[in-house]
Amino acid sequence: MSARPNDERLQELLFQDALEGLDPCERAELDGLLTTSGSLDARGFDRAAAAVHAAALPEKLDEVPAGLRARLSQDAAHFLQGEEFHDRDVAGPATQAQADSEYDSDPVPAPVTVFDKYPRPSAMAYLGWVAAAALLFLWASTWNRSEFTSTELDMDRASLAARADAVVVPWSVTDDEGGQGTQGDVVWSDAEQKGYMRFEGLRANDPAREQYQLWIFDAARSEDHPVDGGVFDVPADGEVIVEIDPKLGVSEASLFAVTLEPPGGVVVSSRERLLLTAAVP
Amino acid sequence: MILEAAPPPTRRRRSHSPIVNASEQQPSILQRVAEGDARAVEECLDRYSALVWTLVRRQLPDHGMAEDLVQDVFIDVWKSAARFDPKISSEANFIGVIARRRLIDCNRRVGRRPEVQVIEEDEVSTSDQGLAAVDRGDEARVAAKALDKLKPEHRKILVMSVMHGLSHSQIAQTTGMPLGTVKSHLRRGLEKVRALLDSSPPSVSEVRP
Repeated sequence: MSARPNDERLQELLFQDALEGLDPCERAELDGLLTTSGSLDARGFDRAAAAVHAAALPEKLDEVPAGLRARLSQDAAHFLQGEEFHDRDVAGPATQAQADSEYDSDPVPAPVTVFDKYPRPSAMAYLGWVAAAALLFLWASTWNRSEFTSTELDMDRASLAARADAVVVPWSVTDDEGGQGTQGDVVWSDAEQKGYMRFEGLRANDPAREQYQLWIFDAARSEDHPVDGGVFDVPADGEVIVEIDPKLGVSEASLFAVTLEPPGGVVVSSRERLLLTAAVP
Repeated sequence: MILEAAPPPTRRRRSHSPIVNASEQQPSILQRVAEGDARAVEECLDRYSALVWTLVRRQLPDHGMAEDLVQDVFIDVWKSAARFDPKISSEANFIGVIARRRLIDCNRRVGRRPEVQVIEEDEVSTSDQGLAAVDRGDEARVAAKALDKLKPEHRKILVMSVMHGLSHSQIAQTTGMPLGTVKSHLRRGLEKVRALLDSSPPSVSEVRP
């Protein structure tokens, strides 16, 4: 079967991007083609080029200058302390190609989350998660879309929701009082590894005392080991859109759950404060 | 507070074990970096800084510029560590992609390409023995096998493009091949490597510290 013209052009641009980069016009064209390409491995050529590059390097690698090695450690220490970094302007302002790279950092560095270890929860506490899964099917959501302030985040969310591969699932509240009255939804794309949460009515939190944390259950992983979807806060007005920050790749998202945790989030959730869930049909 | 509702019939019953972030089971260096582990940061630098430095230095003759770029690469690595997925690539390959993006971007901004160099065949060492000496990722071993299967002239132009950062036009000028032929050889070569990588996912042992 021959490739469609757009597919061929898409592959040509991805190939060129991996070896030479793209100019702004080509970048825009690639972005447009990727939007309609569905689940495509857009970084296959990049990984292949990096593999060839590593294979072609000399057997004995160059020794890192001691001064550079020390600066790398200093940079890392500063980053771990939450300091922002800006490009060193090695050769002029950053290009769109760099900004758009899947592997490039976010415009504003995400704070490094320090996870606190907590004691193993009691056996009874596990039942909370089981109950949560059951509740998914008991709660018939009749959530009506509310009018939210039109923001860039909102537009990004709407753009993602328009993709054919994206899912939009409403939040269901549990019996925890913290989530009562909350409305909203989750937009998620497995292909893009990207998503947004929308809340209305979720009470504001004091980040110094507690923070919300998202967990993403992946059909390809054990249900006992959901992917950490990031820690977030809700401002006073209670209306917020939050970009999901998955710490690992998610193959097939099956359930989203929001818990209330100590500041910074946790690695092991006690699940004592499970507030919201959203099951992918 | 605790509901004893039965789990839905369509869902597997959860075992009574703690819910742990999946990356906690066997966290790789980058997964630990993403969690703010300072020791993991140093381990990452110990393991991969020479790879990045060599990779950058081969394309940027300016020592200071190369050092700055390596610093930028590792800042990108720290910021992007949470996106690392061991099912998709090895850590070495993940970092290599980041370094290459920076290099390509730098070359485009500078508006020039590295000096054209004639690359001799013996310059390209792709033996398994050599590759095993340092951690370059499983993908490098796969790529080495793919390179060995290419015709010498095709392998040469692929290395000229990938390692030395020469443009397609520069390669055409250097080799005397028509530009279209250069592009088609490059693409076929890279597609072969990509296909081999897709059929050879990174091994579990590689991603674990």
